[in-house]
Amino acid sequence: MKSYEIHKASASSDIKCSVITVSTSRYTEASKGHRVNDVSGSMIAEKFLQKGYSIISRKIVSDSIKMIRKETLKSIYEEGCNVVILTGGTGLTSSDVTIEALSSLFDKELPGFGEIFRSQTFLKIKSVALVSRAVAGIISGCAVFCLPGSPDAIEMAIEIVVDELPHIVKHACE
Amino acid sequence: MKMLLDLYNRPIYNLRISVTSRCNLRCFYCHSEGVKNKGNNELSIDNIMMIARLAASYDVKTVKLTGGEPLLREDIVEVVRSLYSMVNFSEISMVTNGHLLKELAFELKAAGLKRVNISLPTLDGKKYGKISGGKLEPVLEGINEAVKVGLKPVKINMVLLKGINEEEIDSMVQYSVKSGTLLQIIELEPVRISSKLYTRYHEPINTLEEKLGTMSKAIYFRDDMHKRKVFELDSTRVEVVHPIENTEFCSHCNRLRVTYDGFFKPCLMLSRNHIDARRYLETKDYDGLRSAFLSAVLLRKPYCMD
Repeated sequence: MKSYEIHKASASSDIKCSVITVSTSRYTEASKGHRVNDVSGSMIAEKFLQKGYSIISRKIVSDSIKMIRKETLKSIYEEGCNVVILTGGTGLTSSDVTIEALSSLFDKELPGFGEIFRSQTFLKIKSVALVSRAVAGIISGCAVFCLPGSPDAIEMAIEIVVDELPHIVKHACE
Repeated sequence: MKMLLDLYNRPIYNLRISVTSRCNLRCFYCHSEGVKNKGNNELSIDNIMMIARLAASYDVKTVKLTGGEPLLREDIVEVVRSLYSMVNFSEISMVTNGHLLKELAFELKAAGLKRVNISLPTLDGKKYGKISGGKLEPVLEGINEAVKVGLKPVKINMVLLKGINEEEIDSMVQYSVKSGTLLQIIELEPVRISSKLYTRYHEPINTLEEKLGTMSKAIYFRDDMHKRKVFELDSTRVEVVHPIENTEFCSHCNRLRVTYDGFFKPCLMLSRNHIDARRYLETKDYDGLRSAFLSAVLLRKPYCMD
C-alpha cells in the first residue's frame, strides 16, 4: 500500500453530513406539508448511508442567500456536521445564489472539486459544462459542497467525492 | 424559509405532543397514542416549551396537543398560552374527549387554541357509557361550548366500530350539521389493543367510503395531512381517516410525535424506535435534545413500507 493510501484508509470515516436542497418551488410545497419530489437530495442521503456515513439532517430551503447561509452555518455550528452538501442554485440565472451565499464564507477553497467536476461534465456533455459553477470549500473545519440540482450532475459529483470525504474531513479539521 | 425533510421526502410539518397519559374515560379501543406504559412523569411546561422552541427553529408549522385527556392537566391553559406566545406556529389544536370542555373552552380559545377534535363514537348515551365508562351529556355540552366560543372548526372524531356504530353514520352527519361541527370518521387501528378486539370491531372503511361516495357532490383529498379523503355532501363535508393498508396515508404523513414522558416517536404504529429526549430536557442540554430530535426525524419511515 502506498503511503497516501494508508493515510486515506486510516482517516476517520466518522462523516456527519447535512444535505440541503436549495429550491424555492420545492420549499413552497414542503411548507404546505406536502411530500416533495427531491430526487437529488434523497440520492445523496441514500448513497452516503450506503457508505456508512451518518446523515444528521436533511433540509429544504428557498433560493435565498440569507436562508442558505443560515442553514449551512446551523448544520456546521449547531448540528456538528463535518460535511454539508447543498444541491441546487449553482446555475447562471438571477435566482441561483447558493455560491454567492457561501463562497465568501470559505476559509479555504477546494478548487480541485470544481475542476474535476467540470472536466468530467465536459467529457460527458461537452461545453454545457460551462454553465455549472459547482464549488467546494472549507468552513470552520467542515467540507461544504455546492452542487447543481440535476440528478445526473449529482450522480457524477457523488462519484467524485464520496470515497475521498473521510480524507478531506480529516485534513479539514486538523 | 426552510423545512426539515425525512429520508422519504416528507417535510416535518406537525408536532403532536401528548401532555398526559391520564384519562377520565376508558374507551376499549383507545390507542393511547401508541404508548405502552402510563405514568405520572409528564413533561413540565418548561420541557414542552424546550421541545416546541426546537421544533419551531426548524419551522415546524403546527402543534397538536393530545393525551390521555389533555384537559386533565391543571396547567393546560398555560401550556396553550405559552405555545401561542411563541408566535411561530400557525395553528395550535387539541384532541379531547370533551368532558371538561364546557368549563375550559373559553379560556383555551382566549389562550390561543385554534381548534379542537372531540372524540365521540356514538350519540346513544347507553352505548357511549359502555364504550367509554362515561356520560354522554357533558361531551355534547362541551361541543356546544367549543362551537360557541369560536374554536374553528370543531371536529367530531368518530372511530368506526363494527356492530356498534356503523348504523349511526347518517345521524352523526345530521348531528354535525346541527351542531356546526365537522365529522371525521376514523378507521380502528390495531395499536395497543388485543388482536381479538381488533378483529371483532374493525370495520374496513372502504364500504363506508363507497356509501359516502354515492351521497357526495364532490370528493377530494386533503393536501396537508395523510392525503385524507374528504366527501362534500349537500349540507356539510365528512373527512375519512383511512390508515389501514393505505400506502398513501403513510407516504403523506408529516408529523413527529412526542410521548407524555418525553420520547420522540417517529411513527404511531411502532414503539421500538422511540428516542429518549427526557434526559436532555432534565439537564437542559439543548444540543443533545436537537440531536435526538434530528435522529427521530430521520428514523421516520412510512409504516406501509415496513
